[in-house]
Amino acid sequence: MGVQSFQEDLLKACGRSHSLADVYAAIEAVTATGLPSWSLDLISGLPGLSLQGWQHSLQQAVAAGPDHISVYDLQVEEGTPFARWFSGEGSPLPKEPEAVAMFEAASATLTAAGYEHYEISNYAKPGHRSKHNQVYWQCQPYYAFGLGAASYTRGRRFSRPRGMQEYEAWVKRFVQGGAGCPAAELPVESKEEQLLDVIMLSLRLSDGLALQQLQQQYGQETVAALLPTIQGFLQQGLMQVLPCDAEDVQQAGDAIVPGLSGSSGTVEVDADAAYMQLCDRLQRGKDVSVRLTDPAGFLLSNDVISELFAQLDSRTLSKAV
Amino acid sequence: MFPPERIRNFCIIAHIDHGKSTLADRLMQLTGAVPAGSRPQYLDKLQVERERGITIKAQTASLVYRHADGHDYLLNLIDTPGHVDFSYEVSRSLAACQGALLLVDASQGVQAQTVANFYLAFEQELALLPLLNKTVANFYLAFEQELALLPLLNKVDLPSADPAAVAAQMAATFDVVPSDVLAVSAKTGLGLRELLPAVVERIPPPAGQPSQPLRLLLFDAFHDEYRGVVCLVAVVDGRLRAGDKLAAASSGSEYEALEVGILAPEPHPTGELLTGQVGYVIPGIKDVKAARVGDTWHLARQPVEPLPGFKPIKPMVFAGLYPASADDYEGLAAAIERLGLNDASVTVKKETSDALGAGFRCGFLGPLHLEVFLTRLQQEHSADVISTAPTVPYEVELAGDPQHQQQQQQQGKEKQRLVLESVAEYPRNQKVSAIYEPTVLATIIVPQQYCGAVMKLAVARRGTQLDYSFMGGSSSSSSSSSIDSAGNSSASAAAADEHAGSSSSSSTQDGVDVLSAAAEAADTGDSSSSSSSAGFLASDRVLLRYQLPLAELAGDFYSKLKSATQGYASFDYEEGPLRPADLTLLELLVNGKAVDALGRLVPTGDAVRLGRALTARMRTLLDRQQYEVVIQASAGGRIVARETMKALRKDVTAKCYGGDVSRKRKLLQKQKEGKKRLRQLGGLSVPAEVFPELLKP
Repeated sequence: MGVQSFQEDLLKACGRSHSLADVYAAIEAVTATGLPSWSLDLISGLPGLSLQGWQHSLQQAVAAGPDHISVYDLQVEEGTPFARWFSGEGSPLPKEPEAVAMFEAASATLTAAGYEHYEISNYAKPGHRSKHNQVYWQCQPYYAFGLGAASYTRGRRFSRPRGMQEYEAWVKRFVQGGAGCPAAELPVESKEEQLLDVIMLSLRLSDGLALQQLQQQYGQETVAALLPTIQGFLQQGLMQVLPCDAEDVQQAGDAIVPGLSGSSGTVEVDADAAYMQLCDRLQRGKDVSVRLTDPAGFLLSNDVISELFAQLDSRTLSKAV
Repeated sequence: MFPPERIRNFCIIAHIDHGKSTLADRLMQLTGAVPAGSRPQYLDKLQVERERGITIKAQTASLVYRHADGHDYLLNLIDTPGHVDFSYEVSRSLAACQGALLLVDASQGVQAQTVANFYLAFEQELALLPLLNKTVANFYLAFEQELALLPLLNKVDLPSADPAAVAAQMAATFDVVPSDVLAVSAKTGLGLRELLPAVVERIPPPAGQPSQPLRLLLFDAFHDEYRGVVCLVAVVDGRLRAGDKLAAASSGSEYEALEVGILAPEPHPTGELLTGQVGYVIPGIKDVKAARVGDTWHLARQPVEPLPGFKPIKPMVFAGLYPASADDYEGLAAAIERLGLNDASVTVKKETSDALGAGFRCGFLGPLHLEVFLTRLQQEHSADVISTAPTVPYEVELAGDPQHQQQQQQQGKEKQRLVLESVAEYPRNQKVSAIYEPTVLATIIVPQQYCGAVMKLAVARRGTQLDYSFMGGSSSSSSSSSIDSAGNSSASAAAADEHAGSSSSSSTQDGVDVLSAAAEAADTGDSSSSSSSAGFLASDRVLLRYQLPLAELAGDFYSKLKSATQGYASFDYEEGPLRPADLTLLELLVNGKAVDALGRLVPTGDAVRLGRALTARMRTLLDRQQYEVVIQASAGGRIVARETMKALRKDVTAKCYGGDVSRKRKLLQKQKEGKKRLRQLGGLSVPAEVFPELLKP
């Protein structure tokens, strides 16, 4: 449900075609039907939005009782009406410190209300993670149909034309060519592209990047190239190591294991100890993952991911293939 | 063969762009050395020379000319570099000649650099053949005919030729008789037929002794890919044969003359060179630095009186050169070495910077030399280079401890001085009692109306005026006296009459009294004023001499001079003495730590202003980091400016679904590329391309 905001004046200002009354009516309707699972969208960073107003929308969203909430920061695209209206000095768009505060507020409020912050922009009650979207984030293949639709089959990512005419023309050619795999003429994605996608998408998730699997699929050199940078991010508090099997937790006893953190509660994280644990587990062939911390790591995810990319020079990548 | 009496060694002295190379091409065509219609500006071989239209390397061509007396004469034309930084090379080329064609562009008049070279030639008592290029009318034939001419302008922004005014100028400046002036046009060929006989008749032959032991003047050297180092020599006394064992007077090193010949203009091995001839010798050496320009070479174990004027290379401007990315170090080292093969005047030392890693400190003859070197480095070797701000060799006097000082004073010793090739060498832990800066003696010629602007600029750049003289031009048409911004009334034509009487500020040098001659010329040139087009040459010109800090030259003085005078200023300089200067070390600190590559010595009075400007500039140029960054400027140990950069807190892509994946991955790869080009600068990650901006004066 694309609510976006629980403030009437903001909905008007943004030219949304629904009113606050419409929102509550829709919520009622959905609740009444008893759907097994439904999701609600909010946008932070709307022009004129204050931290207070944002907090209000968050609370209202929680009160509506959805199983899943998506929270997006407004991205003003060049050439859109928003860009024309709202760029430059004196723009009513929230400044960076406020935008950061809104992200942090969403994370705190929603996790306190029982939602798991399982992806940068997505929160879900246990068992209600978006099955559809997880296909993307786990790099699994999927079909597509229709204008502008994107598919990922047989190692090729392909988006169909957006305009009707171009789309019809494409369909004709596709059928005439004997159908089969769309974009068959495109090369299969390289192992390098795969690797980068895995890193990029896994780190969007709270489940993080599984390093043992990465090592198995892309080689020891690949992971070795990443480790020093990962250590740096651990020290900066932008990343953390995830515990894996119950065995380890059990061995540690009831005491909180220093260096490993669970997804719930706050644990004193000793970065160096965590790093040592990480290396140790890798060496022993055990599963181990690293994830971006919430909210700091998520907020700087582009910076972290591109830094990891930078560690993979052509030599390392050639060995991975 | 050619006895000395039938040899003429001469060069062309001219300001840059006045048509010297074109004239040289023409002479070669006339004597058949080069076929007509061949590639123009034959002597400008290097690509960068062609692009910038200037000659950097000096090259010679030997031409054979059948004179009216029925004999063949060997005319050796020696090409000379056309720009300020290479005046030593020019002086050594002149030392190989007995005559010089003094070439002045009739549309531009006399320029400062020609003045400088004139004095060089005068000192060597070369016979001068003044030439007027691109003349409109023969002013000494005066009234008989006006030659129609296709005005071919080298610089279209300047007005068309005014030969009368220029000849008067030449008479005024060089003390030549106007009727001796030849009018030519290298482009059209006008007057060239008269030129070669004039060369034979009016330039004396070389005066060397064939019977004396061999004495060679080495006046240039270059590196040829296939032959190694090739030396250009003038045989002053004796005779040089292939196979001779030679020795260099300056070092005593011995070489064998593997090949000997003349340049016609391509190398032509003749096996020997006789007294008075000019040609080349291949001594079988690999390092061009061993062939020192101006050196005297003789037969091994037969030492001779060395020829005067030899000066070892003294770099005047330094720059730190670093590879743009750390793993390019080897590539940069190789590129610098390759360029050094053909440039004996570049000095290279290894250097490390905290900020920039491992690199080189290179010394150059001057700012243009540096610029040309960097351009060639980029062009010919496709190496990406970071170059730090040019520095000059300051000398720093250490205070030392009082006891030690007393001792030294008693012993009559001078205080200890340190020469700094880079600011990083500044002694931070010791007390400095004085700083000495290298200076230059600059000659500037401008039209009168810009005089005030030039003076203002020179003073602002800590220049001291040494001389001011009125050069004149055409006559009273420019009698409007302009009051410049400083409130000084610059010398108008009326005042010129006054000045002509008193020789107070005239640049009386070696007997040339500029002002009185100018007054004379103003009278004789009267008739031409009506026909001359109003404009540049119609205004009187002023010659200024200043002692300037060399550091200003290494900065942007020259370009500021050009813009303050709308391009009309001409500029030349020579090395001046060291002088004490009130300078302070200005350092930039990032989170409390000084960044060595960004430090500089600045005039004490400017420290605060510059400190503020630099910190502000850093703040705008740098990307935000993941932590707060405090930028400070410190002058003489005191913080004078401070800026804060807030930490980066948000860099995230909100949505990444199916169709977004490829696009987002590519964006992150781009971000990665940016990260790879980052260099660590005081703990900050800084994009390499930002460095030149940071390091600007």
